[in-house]
Amino acid sequence: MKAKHIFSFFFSFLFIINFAQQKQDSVKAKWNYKPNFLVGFDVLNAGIGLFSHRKIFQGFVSSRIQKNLHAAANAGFEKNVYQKNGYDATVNGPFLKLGAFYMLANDAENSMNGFYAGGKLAGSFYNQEYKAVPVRGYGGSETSVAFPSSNQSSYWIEGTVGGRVQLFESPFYIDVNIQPKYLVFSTKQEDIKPMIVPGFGKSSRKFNIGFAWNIAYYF
Amino acid sequence: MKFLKIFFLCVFLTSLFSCTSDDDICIGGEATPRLKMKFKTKSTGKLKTMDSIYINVDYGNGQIPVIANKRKTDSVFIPLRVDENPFTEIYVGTSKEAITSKIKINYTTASEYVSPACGIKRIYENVSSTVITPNPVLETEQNQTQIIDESKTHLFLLF
Repeated sequence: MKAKHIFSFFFSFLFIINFAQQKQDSVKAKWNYKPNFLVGFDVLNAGIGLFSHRKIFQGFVSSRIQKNLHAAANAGFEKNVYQKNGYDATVNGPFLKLGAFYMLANDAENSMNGFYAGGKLAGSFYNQEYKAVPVRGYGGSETSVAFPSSNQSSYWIEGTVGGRVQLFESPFYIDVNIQPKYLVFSTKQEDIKPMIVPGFGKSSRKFNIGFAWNIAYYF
Repeated sequence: MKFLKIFFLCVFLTSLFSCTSDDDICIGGEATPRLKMKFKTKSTGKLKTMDSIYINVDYGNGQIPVIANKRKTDSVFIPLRVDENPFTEIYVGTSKEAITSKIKINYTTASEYVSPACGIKRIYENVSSTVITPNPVLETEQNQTQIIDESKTHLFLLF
C-alpha cells in the first residue's frame, strides 16, 4: 500500500504544481462541483452485434465529482440467444448500472486522461423465453421441455477497470474498460437458473467478464 | 508502479479463470434416475447372481444394447425413456444370441429442474411392469412403484 501512497502523492504533486501558476486553485481544498459530463457509446459491441446473435447497445455518462473521483452510469439494451447443450433460449431487455470510479493515474496535462478503477451495481429487467430445456436421456432419446416467455430480473455487482484518452485536441475521448461481474440475484421461472442475462452475458456461472470500447464526447 | 502491476495481474488472472469452460457436464446422480433391477430364482424366491446377462432397450428407434455382461452380475441399472412415451420396452436374455424376453414397463412421468448442466430430469411414478414374452424371464416383482432415485431396487426379474 505504501507504493500506492507514493504513487498517488507523486501524481497529486504534479497536479498541484501544474495548477500552482494560478494562485488561488492550489489553496482551495473545498469541494466545488462544476457541471461536466462525458457521454459515451460502446462502438465495439454494437459493431460485433452486426455479425452475431448478440445485439447490444450500451452507453455511459460519467461526471467528475472530486479531483479524481467520477460518478458513472451505464444504460443499455441487449437481445441475445443461448443455443447450447440442448438449450434454446432467447432474452431481450434493458439494463442499468450505477457506480463510481477513481482515477489511479492521470495525465498531468489533462486530468481526464488516465487509468481508473471502480465498482458498479447493476440490474437487468428482461423478457426471456426458454424454447427448450434439455432432458438428458440415453441412447439418443434426449428430449426437451419448453416454457412460455416471462419477465424476469437479475442483479449483479461489477468492477470496472479501464482507461480513457482524449482524441487529439477535440472534445472526443476513447474509453476502454473491462468489467468483471458477479451475479448476485436472479428471479427464476419455475426454478430454472437463467442461462443468459442481458448486460451480464452467459449466466450458468456466477462470474463473467465484459468489455467495452467507447467513443465519448466531453462537455 | 508496483500497485498497478499487481492490480493488472489480478485482472489478468481473474480473466483467465473466467475462460474455463461452462459447467456443462452433468455429473451422475443428479440426472434422470435409472431403473435398478435385481434377479431372483422363481422357485425359491431367493436373490440370484446371473452368470451372464444381456439387456437391450427400445428408446424409440429399435433395440439398443445397454447391458452385455459375461461376468457375474447381481444388479443392473437401466436408463428408461425420457420422452412423453408412457412405457419403455426392455429385452432380456442370458446369452448374446437369445435376448428374447420382452418386458414392458409402464409409468407416468413428472419433470423436475435440476441444474444448468443437467437441465430437467424425469421422475417415474405409478411404475408397473408386465412380461410380454416369458422366456427366460418368467415373472417380474415390483419392489418400488416410483423411481425417484437409484438407492433402492425397483424391480426383480424372476428366472
